[in-house]
Amino acid sequence: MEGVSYQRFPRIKIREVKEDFMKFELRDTDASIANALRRIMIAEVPTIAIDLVEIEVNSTVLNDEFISHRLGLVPLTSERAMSMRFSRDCDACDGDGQCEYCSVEFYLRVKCLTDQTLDVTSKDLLSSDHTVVPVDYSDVSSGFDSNSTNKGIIIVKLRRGQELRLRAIARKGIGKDHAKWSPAATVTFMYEPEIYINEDMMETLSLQEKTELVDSSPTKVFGIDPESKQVIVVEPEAYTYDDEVLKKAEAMGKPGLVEIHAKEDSFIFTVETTGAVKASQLVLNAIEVLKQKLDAVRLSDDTVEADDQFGELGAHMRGG
Amino acid sequence: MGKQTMGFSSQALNCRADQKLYHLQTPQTPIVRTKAYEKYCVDDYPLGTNAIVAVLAYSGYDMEDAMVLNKSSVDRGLCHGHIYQTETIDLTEQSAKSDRAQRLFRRSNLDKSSHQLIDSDGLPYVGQRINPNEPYCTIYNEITSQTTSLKLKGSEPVVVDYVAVDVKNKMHLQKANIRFRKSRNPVIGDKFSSRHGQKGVCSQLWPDIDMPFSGVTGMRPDLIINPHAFPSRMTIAMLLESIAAKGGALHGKFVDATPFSNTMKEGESESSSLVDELGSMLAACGFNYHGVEVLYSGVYGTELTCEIFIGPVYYQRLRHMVSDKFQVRSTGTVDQVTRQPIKGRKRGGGVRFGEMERDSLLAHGAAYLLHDRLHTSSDHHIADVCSECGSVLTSSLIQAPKQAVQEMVGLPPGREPKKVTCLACRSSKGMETVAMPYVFKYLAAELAAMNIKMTLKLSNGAGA
Ligand SMILES: [Zn+2]
Ligand SMILES: [Zn+2]
Repeated sequence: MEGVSYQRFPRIKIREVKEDFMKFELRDTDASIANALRRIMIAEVPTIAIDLVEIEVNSTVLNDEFISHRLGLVPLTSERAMSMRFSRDCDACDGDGQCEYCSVEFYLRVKCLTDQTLDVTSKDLLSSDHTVVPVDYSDVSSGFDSNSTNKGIIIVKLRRGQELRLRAIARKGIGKDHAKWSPAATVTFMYEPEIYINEDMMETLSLQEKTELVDSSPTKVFGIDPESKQVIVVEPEAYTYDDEVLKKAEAMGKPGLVEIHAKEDSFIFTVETTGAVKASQLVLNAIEVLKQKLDAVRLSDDTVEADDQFGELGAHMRGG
Repeated sequence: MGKQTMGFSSQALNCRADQKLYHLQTPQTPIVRTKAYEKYCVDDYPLGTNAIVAVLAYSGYDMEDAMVLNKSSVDRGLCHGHIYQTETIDLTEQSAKSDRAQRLFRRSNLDKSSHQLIDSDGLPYVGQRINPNEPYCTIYNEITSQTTSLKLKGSEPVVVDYVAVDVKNKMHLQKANIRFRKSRNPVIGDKFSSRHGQKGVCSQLWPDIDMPFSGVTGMRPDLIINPHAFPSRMTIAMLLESIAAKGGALHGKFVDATPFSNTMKEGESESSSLVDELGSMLAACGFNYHGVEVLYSGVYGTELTCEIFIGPVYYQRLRHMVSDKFQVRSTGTVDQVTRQPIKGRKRGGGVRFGEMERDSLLAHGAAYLLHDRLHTSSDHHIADVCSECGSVLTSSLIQAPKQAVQEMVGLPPGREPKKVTCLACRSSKGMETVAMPYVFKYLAAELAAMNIKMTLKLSNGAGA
């Protein structure tokens, strides 16, 4: 097997980038890489989230566990997370998880003194580190309703006399351990479809039949050219591989009227983040994590055991 | 409806002192609902969650009415809940039973170890976590001047949720209600159900990344159930709920599901069926008419061969939870009379290996295992039987006089064979040891009480 190379040179073409949204094409690679990227973005790119809560006073309507759980789910800006240490392998605090290298301290002290209901929000969380703060959605340019007075993520509501006082420790973690550490809101990819219309066969259809065919797809993939009255592909990526058009063609007695194939090596990714990291950064971090994982495998390749363990795969990795 | 479910059973939880109350942390209102639901304001007492349910056989862990929950969904709070338990301590009741001693709640000043858990009034701190066998309340007896503490029963830690005192009695504090709170988040073995009686047990908390996902929306299901749950039970309504709720969710509307009524809007063509109405709701949003979607394997990233039926279904968490039901025993207490392991979860008893279980082992020819379960691990006993008269009951131990010689020499007291004798035959000549279940000996004794003699004929097994 020596000398056989499976190396490919994947390309990425970015289509759209916003603070918390990104759409890109990934080409010249296969499903394993695309899916690895998706899985890592969801579960293995580290972020920072509240992990330990010490409650001093809680006279609110929600119990301690409930509030702790809610605090954990608040996304914190985590640009620092990649360079931060995991508490479990931090030398500075012996796994205590309370030193500056591996944790960020938060305080929350709110008491309601008026008759009006007081909302405790993520903005009331005071961080000891200005780089790690609850995500502020008001200055995110995309999507969110910015004209409504943005007050952050609501944690609990207080009535007169109720109080909440606590200290929280945020730590680095990954989505595999707990979903609160996942930076991804949605990561998905689809195979790029290739759609062929058999023009000759299409000519045999009446305009009404053409309209029926176009309407059979739940998404707007096909259209009718207003001038030539021909069926054209309007938006190939709207196709969801539902086979509705193929079934319709079959039902009309014209199999092969439309042919659709999925390109095995082209993927269209959609990435949305919680705001913990920027969408573009999330993709880069994911690639970084994937590299680290591969390095861990490659590091052990000169040992005999690794050769035995990986067999032919080891040879591939060495030979390239 | 709410009998078995964990829901939001009261709006005044903080004031209540129920014996045991199951409470769902984050309930939702169902998307598909009836007119009666609104009429009776059930929304004020919700009892479930709209879970995204995919109907497919995915990991094999969804076989036989099991279901796979998405771990990330559970992490985010799906079906989280609590149990509130109230302990009522009435000192007047206690003292009336025994002496006329005056008892009151007070903390012992001698035992400083409990001070972390118990306040100066003898009652626990609100918000304090208490582990099993730790005290949660101390009572002082004025006559004996002794302090007794009430220890937490059970096997899981609790949090003190609320302490209520009864001050009707002008004298000392005599009555208190202590409400404990236990977290009950979904674990493997917990029971869930849709509103159509499709109940199932959580068999795995599956990682989010391994769940199938939709290429278009990127959605992963919260819950996977097996398609085999449908044909024999014919719960078509659940499938309809899934489609209806999906359409409702896409349009941002509640869907009416009142039975025996025409849901179709007035004036619309009579021919259109309910299915058509629901299907067109989906198609209007670019989804498949029948509620199916193309999903990709979360593990491989490849398209699944079939289109998967997926949509939101209102799921309830049922109050049968493993943490309340699991039984474990290795060794433990045995029954006084039969010397067999006792029953009962609370007392650390075992699960009965009954007749039917015995039959199955017999059918398998697993004789050794059968012997192990029913004899060795149960009430194995070595009885002394008199071969002369065949009685198991007449053997008696002869108290051998202490041999002074052995002690003086300083040898370790060697295990000398037990000297047994038959009281009926007045001889120890025919005494033999026979292994038997202890209940057998008990049976002989019971029969003897009824004037029936049981005789054993002993042989060495080679020839009868
Ligand atoms: Zn540290
Ligand atoms: Zn005898």
